Amino acid sequence: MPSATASVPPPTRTAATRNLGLLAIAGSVVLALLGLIFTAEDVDQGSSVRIMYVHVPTAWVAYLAFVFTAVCSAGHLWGKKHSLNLDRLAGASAEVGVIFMGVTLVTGSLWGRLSWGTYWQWDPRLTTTAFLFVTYIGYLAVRGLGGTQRQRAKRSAIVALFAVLEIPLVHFSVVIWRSLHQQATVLRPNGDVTMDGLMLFSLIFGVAVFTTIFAWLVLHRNRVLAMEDAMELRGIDTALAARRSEEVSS
Amino acid sequence: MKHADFIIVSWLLSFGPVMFYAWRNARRARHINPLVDEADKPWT
Repeated sequence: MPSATASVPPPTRTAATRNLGLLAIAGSVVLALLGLIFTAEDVDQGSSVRIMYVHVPTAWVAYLAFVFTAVCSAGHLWGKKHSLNLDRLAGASAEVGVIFMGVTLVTGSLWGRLSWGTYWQWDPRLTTTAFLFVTYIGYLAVRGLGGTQRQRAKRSAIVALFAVLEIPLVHFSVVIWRSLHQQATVLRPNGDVTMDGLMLFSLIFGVAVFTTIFAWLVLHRNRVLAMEDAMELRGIDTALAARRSEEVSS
Repeated sequence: MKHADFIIVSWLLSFGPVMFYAWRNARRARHINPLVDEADKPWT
């Protein structure tokens, strides 16, 4: 039986997040139609290319999430106010990035089974991607360590600024080393894109859809983190007030 | 699994975790909402 609060909208909802959510849902439906029905099969890969429309966008948006985490972290560290909201945005973005990176690894594994006959190979691209995924799980673990909110923000910001340096290594791993993974088809150094028009459009559309989902999730998560921080501070204030009243009465 | 199954499973595994994360976050928001002052929710 559903709970009584199931139909109540979350308190983090605003008109902007509602519209963003609706846009993300509508976009996902269109992406599914494009990716699963309207686009043609690939000459070499056949229908398995349909995994590309979720695999590549989630990878790119995970990169975007981790870069956003680094930018917010830098803003916290070097900004005049050392804003805790920037720290919370960094944390929310990293959480969503980890989910997208996990999706990239799983869908890539399934695609690999169809293309290469194996779910996993210790190939440079796959290994560096897995390493990036584990690094950001580590970042989230660092955020969960004890201490004040300022201490959490400072130490996790430093970790985020180091972790983001892995992204170029992941992206160029197929160029630097001999890799089973195919080389870039869209983001090529010479700018030449060798892809059918509708396939390319669907891929870019997928990136836009997952970016919208990313923004929607981060906005909601950031607000929940703000509520948790406020609750924690109020708890400390209450405990301090109780302690002071004990000292006065004794 | 058949060829098409891999594709369907890939798509389900792409949106499933995202939906689960969104649901879990909304549940947490509803849970702690009564414990937080309105002044601490500048978006409302």
